[in-house]
Amino acid sequence: MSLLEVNDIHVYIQSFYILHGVSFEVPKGEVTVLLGRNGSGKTTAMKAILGLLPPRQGSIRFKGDEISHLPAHKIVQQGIGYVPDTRRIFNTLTVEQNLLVAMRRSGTKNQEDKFEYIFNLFPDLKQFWKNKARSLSGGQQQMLAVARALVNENDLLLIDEPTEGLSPLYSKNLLRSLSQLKETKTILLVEQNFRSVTALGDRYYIFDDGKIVASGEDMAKLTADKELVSRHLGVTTT
Amino acid sequence: MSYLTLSKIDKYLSKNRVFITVVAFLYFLPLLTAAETSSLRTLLHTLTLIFTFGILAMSFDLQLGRSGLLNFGQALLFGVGAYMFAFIFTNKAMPFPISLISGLPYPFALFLTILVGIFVGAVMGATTDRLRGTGFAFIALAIAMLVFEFFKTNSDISGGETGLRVEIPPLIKNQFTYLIFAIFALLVIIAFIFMVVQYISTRLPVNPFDYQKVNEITEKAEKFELTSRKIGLMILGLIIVGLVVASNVFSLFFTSKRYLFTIPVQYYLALTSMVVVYLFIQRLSISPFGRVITAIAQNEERVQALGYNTYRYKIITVAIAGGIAALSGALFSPYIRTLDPHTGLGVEIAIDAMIYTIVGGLGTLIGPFLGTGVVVFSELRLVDLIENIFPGFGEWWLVVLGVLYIIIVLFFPYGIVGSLQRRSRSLKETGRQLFIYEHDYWIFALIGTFLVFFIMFAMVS
Amino acid sequence: MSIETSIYQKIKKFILTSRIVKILTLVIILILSIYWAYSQIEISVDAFTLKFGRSIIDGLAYSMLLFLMVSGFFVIFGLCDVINFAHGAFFMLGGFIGYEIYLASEIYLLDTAFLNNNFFVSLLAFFIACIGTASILAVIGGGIEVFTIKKYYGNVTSQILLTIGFMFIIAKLAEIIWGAPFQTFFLDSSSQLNYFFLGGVINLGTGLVFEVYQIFLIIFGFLFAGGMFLVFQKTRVGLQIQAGIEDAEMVEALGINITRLFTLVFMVGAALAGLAGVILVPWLGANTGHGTTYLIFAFVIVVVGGAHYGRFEGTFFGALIVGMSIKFCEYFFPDISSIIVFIIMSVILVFKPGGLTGEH
Repeated sequence: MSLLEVNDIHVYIQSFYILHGVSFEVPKGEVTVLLGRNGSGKTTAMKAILGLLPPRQGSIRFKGDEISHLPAHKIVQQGIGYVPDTRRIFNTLTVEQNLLVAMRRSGTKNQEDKFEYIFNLFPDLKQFWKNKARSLSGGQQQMLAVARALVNENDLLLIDEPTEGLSPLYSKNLLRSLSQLKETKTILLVEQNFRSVTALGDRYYIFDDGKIVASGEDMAKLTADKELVSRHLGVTTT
Repeated sequence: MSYLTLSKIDKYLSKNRVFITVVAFLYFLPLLTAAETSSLRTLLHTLTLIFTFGILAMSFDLQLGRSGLLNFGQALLFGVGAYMFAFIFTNKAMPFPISLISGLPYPFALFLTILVGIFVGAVMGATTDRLRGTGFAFIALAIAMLVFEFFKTNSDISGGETGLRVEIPPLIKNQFTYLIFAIFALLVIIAFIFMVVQYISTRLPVNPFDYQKVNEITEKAEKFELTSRKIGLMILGLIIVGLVVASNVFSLFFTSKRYLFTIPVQYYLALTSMVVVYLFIQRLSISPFGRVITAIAQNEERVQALGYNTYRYKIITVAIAGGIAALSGALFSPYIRTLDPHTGLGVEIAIDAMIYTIVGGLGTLIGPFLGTGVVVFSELRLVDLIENIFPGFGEWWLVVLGVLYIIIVLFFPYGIVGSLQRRSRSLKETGRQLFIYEHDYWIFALIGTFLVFFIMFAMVS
Repeated sequence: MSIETSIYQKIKKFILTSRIVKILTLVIILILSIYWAYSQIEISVDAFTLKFGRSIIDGLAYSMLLFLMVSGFFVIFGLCDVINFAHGAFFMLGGFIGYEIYLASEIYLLDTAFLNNNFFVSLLAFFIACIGTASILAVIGGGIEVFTIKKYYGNVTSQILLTIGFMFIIAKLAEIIWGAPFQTFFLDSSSQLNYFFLGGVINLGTGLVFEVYQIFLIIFGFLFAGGMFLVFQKTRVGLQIQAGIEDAEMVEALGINITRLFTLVFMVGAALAGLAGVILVPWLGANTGHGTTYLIFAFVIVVVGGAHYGRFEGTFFGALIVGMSIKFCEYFFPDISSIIVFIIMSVILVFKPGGLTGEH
């Protein structure tokens, strides 16, 4: 059984019809990648799962339970971690406070272990523990954004464009950390640049204009399908 | 050439039926009476105030609704106009620089006032360079408060607690001004009749004014006889109305009581200014300039990236709004007759302008005017109304007004006009099912306006 | 490292790094040094020193009062993005409710007669008034939020009209019940005992006289500011509010019930307004006109402190600047005392367009 099943959701932003019946599923223990150009509806799909943009139609099942009618905080509390596209860390808080805000009440017991786990994954954060998040570099901010999704016992991580705006070195580091995570968590990843995640991803769905136009279970095969890639992702593979 | 202009007029009339209906109705109203004391004159007096503040609300809406500029200094822009007129038309001796403009003829006074309003608006707008959002709102408020305090403490120019007494400009008391407005009103009414005729000719399967064709068919069907009889009746009615109006104008014209002209002339001045401002803002908002300022309101960075100097656009917007608000003040000053710093420059004016705009609907142009009508009329009449229904509870009127605002928000979260516009598609659909099309709306506008004024009339008398 | 030393180090670090503590120390040093200088010199106090001393005490007391009132406005504005025009009305209403509760509980306490010490009667009555008013206002604020404002988050104009509507309703009802603004109600003159526990003055001789209540206000204000600072830095709710001020949607996406947080903040904001209203009464009395006067100050202080993504400290310093400058001008430049606030605001906004702590 899949951890998350999205079935024929229709999503509007105010009066704009964004997602025209999208279905996909995220099997447990895998990395599912949503691909597509800017504005193709990937981020909207993610926000629909989180309940930030509730779908007008269709169903979303998480661990077998229907969640599409729940308010956002209830959905998240069932074990979903979210790493948004523009990081959206809290600038006026320190690194520590950022993580404390994210930590749910159930997580406060073994707080120290959690922090230890995060320090292992992102040693930089320990160094700037008491600094304001504003003062971190872009890459460190991204790490903080990921760490914020890891302080709770989440089964599913929704990660939106993790490598956007990062230097190649930082992207590499981050992707390495993500592949470490892959062993214990299920990940739903949104990416524009599909080549950066070919090694990481298992299953993929390609979005175009609010619909899913292609999907597959092997990222490696996608690289070979040059015609599909150039038509829907707007990149030429040479 | 003449044909071309005629077809242009034709096109304009057919596109703005609702607008012409309402304007013709409003222009027609003062011609109905020549009596010295009548409820209609009271109503005209009230309407003048509504038009004056309606202009102020439109100026506020131009800033907040179209350009996203929240201006808490609106009171100053209004006060500039009010005080310019007070300085020009007061009989109190003014200190030197102000004394230069005293007694200026009305048209020059109006022109100068609007210029000063534009200037003050530009100064206020200049602060938008560094300040956005609440920052701008409060700098503008600070400027307005500084001027307010200046007028409050310097009683030699503001008249102190008692305020400045403003004489009615000679032009307003003049019967020739009234005659000019009456002629203009007749022109508007003729345009309305022309529009009605045009409407009938397009809505019927056959043009009833095309006699040849009508004659061809008349033999076959009775339907068109009926129509032509209707038109005959309509013309007869118009002649009767025309006679009433002419006799009213005529009798008024030969009266020795000059003060009788004050109310209708002020009404016409306010109405004409409002129509001009309405058309101006309508034009402005569909012009390239208007589109740029709307874009700035939505995303300033992006507009800057497109190579526009957004700062200049914002200054010009506030300057234009300043001119319009000054016009409103200029109409207000001879109306209220006594101007003290609170009525001319108080912060309440900015708050009121904001309430009018929000009640009517932000960015809807006609909404702010309607909102002004609702709020000003309630403020003036609510006490009597409550006193009539629940004697002794008159002082509760402000509580009722507060409840009214909350009810408006609950039923019209985007203002009266704004919420209706958001539902316009479904409303139009319902209309279409009832065989009411867009070109028929003017009839409902006429009935609606008539009803509204009838109710207002009933409440005033 | 033992636990004691780590706590000790925490406290030490807090004292060394916290801005509030620094300011507090500075102010205390200032007051002490003025007092010391005054006691050393032993000469007759000239008019200037007299005015100066008074303006400082008056200004500090007034600042703290403003801060108490504005902090409620700030949390509502910061987190919920609602410009609460009814805040001044809450404040005014708080004053009257506190006044009535004080008088009622005073009578009750005197009747039951288990307390026959005037000081304790007054103290207890004032305490009951504070708590009672804060809870009543919390209920009113929460009710308004739940039944009306809740539906209109994101629709700024509706919120403005709603809060203005409530402002009118509360202000007019208060006028109907307690009369027009030209009448001010004072505690000690209308109480049974004709006594208030913090009434009276401190006389430093030679004309330098301070009201005890002002000193109380200053101490209370600083303690309150410190407490609020700790709440914002150390508690879950405080951190959530601060994070929500920056990005409410993200806070929601972290699994926090933002709707409940908004209601809570509204209740706290209204309660703070009410509390400030009660605290005002023993000094300046209760008056139905207070609402509008103080609403303008609330606006100005929040803008000076930093309206957008501003921080709590900004409001504190904003209140300090505004309160001090008003009282200072009342003593030295009475002509401009009513506009000094706007002059200062303009200067600050020109140099820091986002306010003291806000972002532009």
